[in-house]
Amino acid sequence: MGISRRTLIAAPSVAAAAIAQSGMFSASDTEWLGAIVEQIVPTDEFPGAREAGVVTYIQRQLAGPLKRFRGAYSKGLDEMKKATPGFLTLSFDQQTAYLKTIESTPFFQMVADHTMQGYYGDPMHGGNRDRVSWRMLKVDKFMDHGPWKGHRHEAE
Amino acid sequence: MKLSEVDAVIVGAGGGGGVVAHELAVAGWRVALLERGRRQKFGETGHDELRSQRTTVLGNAFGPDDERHFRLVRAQDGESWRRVLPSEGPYGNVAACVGGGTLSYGAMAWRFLPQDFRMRSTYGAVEGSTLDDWPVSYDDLEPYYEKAEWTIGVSGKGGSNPFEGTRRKNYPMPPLPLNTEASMLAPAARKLGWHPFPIPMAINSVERDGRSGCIGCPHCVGFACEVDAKNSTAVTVIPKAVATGNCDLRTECVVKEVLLDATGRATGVAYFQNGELVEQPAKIVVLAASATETARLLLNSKHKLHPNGLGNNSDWVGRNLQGHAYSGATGVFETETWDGLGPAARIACCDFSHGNDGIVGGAMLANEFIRLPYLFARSQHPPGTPRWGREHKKIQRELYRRTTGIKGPVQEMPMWTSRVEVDASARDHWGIPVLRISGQKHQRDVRAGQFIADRAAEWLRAAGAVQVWASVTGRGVSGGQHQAGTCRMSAEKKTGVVDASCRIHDVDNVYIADGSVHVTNGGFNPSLTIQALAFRTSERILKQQKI
Repeated sequence: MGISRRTLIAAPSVAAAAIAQSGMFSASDTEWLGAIVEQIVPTDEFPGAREAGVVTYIQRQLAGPLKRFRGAYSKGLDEMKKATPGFLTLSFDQQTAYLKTIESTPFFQMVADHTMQGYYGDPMHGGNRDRVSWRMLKVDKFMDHGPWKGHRHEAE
Repeated sequence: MKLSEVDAVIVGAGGGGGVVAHELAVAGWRVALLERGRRQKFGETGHDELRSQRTTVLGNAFGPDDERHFRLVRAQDGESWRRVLPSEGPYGNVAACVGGGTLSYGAMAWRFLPQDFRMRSTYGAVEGSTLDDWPVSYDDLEPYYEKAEWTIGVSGKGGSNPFEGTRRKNYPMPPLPLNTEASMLAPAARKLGWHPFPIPMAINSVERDGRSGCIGCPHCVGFACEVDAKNSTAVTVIPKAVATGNCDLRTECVVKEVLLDATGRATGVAYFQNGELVEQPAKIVVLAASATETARLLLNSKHKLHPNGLGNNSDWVGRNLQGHAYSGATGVFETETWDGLGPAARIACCDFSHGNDGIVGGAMLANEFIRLPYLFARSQHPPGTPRWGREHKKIQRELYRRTTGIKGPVQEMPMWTSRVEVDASARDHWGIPVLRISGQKHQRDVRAGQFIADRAAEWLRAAGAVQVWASVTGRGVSGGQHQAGTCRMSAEKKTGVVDASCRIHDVDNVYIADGSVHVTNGGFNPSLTIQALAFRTSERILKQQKI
């Protein structure tokens, strides 16, 4: 193996420090966060949070209006990687069961809140790709910008 | 920099300040209208829920910004102070832009009821509350309500609310048509023996005053109106004031203090613009910066004759901070109730505003304004259901169009200890002492909230809801968009801050034209009352002052 045990253990905190400083996720962070957000809004007959771009949403907001949460992301991901290093290898249902054990933690509640923002908010912020949640709720025609395309216009 | 003197300087181009600017400018006064925010257009924010005045999770689209502003709120330990940003709930923000709260409000345009001005006489003293009568009555204010309805533009059906006080004149526009929810709720209320009627709205139901009628988009409260059918002061009285040539609207001007001469009389204000401190001398000063910021300005205007801040010699400035103890219920129906036709709020009743057993006051009940996907996901699912995961997504999808909310702005019992102060050391971006907020709601507000929530639930069940749950106010201190009470109007100098003309008791040339002066805040959205008072105060200023 070209990688020492020591490097492996150190890796999460290096990645975490990167989030805290720049708000940028490492590839590992993106993978972990993708799995978590996918649990929060899973894929069913409509795409889930990962496919809808929720990690991009969170990443972009941590570089802007939500930068005060950078430290919480780095600490939370770091702790989760340490506490459950095999999380990514678990089945979907096993991941659900694990997250239920931490659902009342401030970290999980923060991620859940930001996931809902990214999934149900305006696609301009990086999530809700192709207006997926709006189409799911059948409100897409009401939600867009610019000249409103609601049913009064439709009737005309 | 010191500018040349104007007749009046008005701080705050919102619901009240816009009205005063209009009235004085039309009368030929030279007016400087100062606004800390910007002029905003619909296209800047569109229908973006995450920056709307409804959710603010990515910042306040209508100001103020998180970078230069903060407040302190009392922490849970009751000792220390916690720093909060404008986009966070406990900040108690209203808005900071031309039009103030009226640019993004829902635009319900209520007259308070006669009893709302006589709470102490109607109910007697309430232990632990500073509940009192106003020094003006509904009848005193009625001509100014009429003036506000006709000048600003309100749609409604005169005589349809049997609990309203005497009304001499109908609304200038017919009511907006009922939507699906209102068509379902109106007969249900009648079946219960209640008296439903279309909500009076400061929204054009027909083309008026050169602006379009409502196009029925579902984004009223929390957003600017894309066709300016919503009658904010930004599209009504302020442009008219500027058009007289007598009103100079200056944006991004952050007022620091009221300037006072050796006798303690106001000589103008000092404000920051582009990093420079500017002095604007004026014969008359009108503060219309909101119940929190007007109080802050007074507390920051110290003088040897006003050692605790201007207008504060009897220690009333900043106290009795109140809003509304919103309570209500949500119901799930078997068929779709949401039709996307805005403003969603179309039907109300005032059967429980007063005369409720064991309750002081009460609230108007109305169907909910707006349904936004993120807000619905976070706060409007049935209790006990999962907060995330497959089931949460399924509920979101299945119930979004089948739920209806009803709630009411429960009248609060004013509290001496619910207050804003200025902190001794915390300073904002401009070096101005920062506000801090403390206190809580009266225990009676929770009781009234439970009663109102029960009535909302009853209404929903009568309309056919198959599952209903209540939402009752907590005891956290109010403020926010309906903030009021911090510069109480009183006949006696000892028991308030301003007189019945809304002039500060302690000096003869400073007036207040926002919700600060409300003795009590009614069981209604307060904007039309703020505006009616602003018309009345303007008339008093023109009578009392020589320029």
